[in-house]
Amino acid sequence: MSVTPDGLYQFGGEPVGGARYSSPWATHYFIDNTNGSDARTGKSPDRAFKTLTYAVTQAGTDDVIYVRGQGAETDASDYSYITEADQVTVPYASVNLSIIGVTSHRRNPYMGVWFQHGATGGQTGYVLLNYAPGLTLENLGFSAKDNIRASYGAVSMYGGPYATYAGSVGFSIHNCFFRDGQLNVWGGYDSCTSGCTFKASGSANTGWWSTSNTYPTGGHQVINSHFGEMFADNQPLRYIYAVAGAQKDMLFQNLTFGLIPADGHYMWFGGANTGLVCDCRFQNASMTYGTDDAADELYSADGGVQYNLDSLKDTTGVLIDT
Amino acid sequence: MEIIIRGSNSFGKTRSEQEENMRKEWGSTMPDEHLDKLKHLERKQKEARGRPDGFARQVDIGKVE
Repeated sequence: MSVTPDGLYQFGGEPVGGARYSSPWATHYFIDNTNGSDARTGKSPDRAFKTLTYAVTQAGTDDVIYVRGQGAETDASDYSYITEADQVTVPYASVNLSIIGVTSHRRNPYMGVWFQHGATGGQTGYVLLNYAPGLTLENLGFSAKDNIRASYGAVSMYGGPYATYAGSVGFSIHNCFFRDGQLNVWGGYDSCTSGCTFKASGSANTGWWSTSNTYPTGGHQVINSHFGEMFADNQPLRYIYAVAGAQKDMLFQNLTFGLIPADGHYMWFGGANTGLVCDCRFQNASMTYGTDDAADELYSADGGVQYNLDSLKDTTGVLIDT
Repeated sequence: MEIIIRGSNSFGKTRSEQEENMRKEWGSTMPDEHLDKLKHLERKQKEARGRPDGFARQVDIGKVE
């Protein structure tokens, strides 16, 4: 058999040289936590890696990592978690990396692909920490198991250490599940989070948390998603929490929310944040919006975040108290 | 000897090709509705620029009317 460059296929034979699945834009990697091995190439389903920890060290700009679902996928109680040894870190150089869950459960694709903290406890960090601009996450579940790292959260989009503050810029998250730990948006801008579920537990947790760090950020969209409590007696103090900063033009649209405690907030925006909240539904029957931190469940310190009052409804289906 | 040039990506040069191949291997990464929207999106991109723009994200696929 003659040796030919990548992309040339000898009739009836295997691809010659390099990866089976290279592309004009990317290399595709595959993770099968049950049957895979990090000693393999990771470049075909039958030569899949075992861990995401290793895969992110091999993948680079524009690459795609497909993650196979684990075990039974019949309902939400049948998750089979992928437990990484420690925090998975996506480096800054992996611009536009995509990490995508694959499952036979088409209706709820995130089922079956779950990542959690190491079970031994004592680690610091997140399940996934990202520095790369343009990261895409789809069909994945992240759990801060048993609140081992509740003070950190499940996933962090971090931009801070880089001089340009471009870390995590333009990330997109679709059809992902954040359980117990929050999604931290610690920098970056112009992101889109859609079709996700946030299940918080423990009073310290929020669902979506953001800060501008030391650089103005903004342009974050959170749309078509659900925020709920893991347990009725363990409701989070806040579901959406943007600390005081200069995050401009955020959009929160088509969201539903579960319960909060009496002193809780559905949304809490510190001063200098601006944006719009519209088309949302809240479980509480009685709630208000405004600039009173103690009284308002929808709080904006300086009124910079506006609410489309025609579309904010409480559990009875009527407009919130204006 | 016959050499067949199949392009540089046998798993799929576009996301829709990859999705259809993935369904033969492990399963799906999107519902059927999104796959239909994806094919429409790639077709429009190809008409406008000669080829699809690249790996389409579901946040963008979902916006296709």
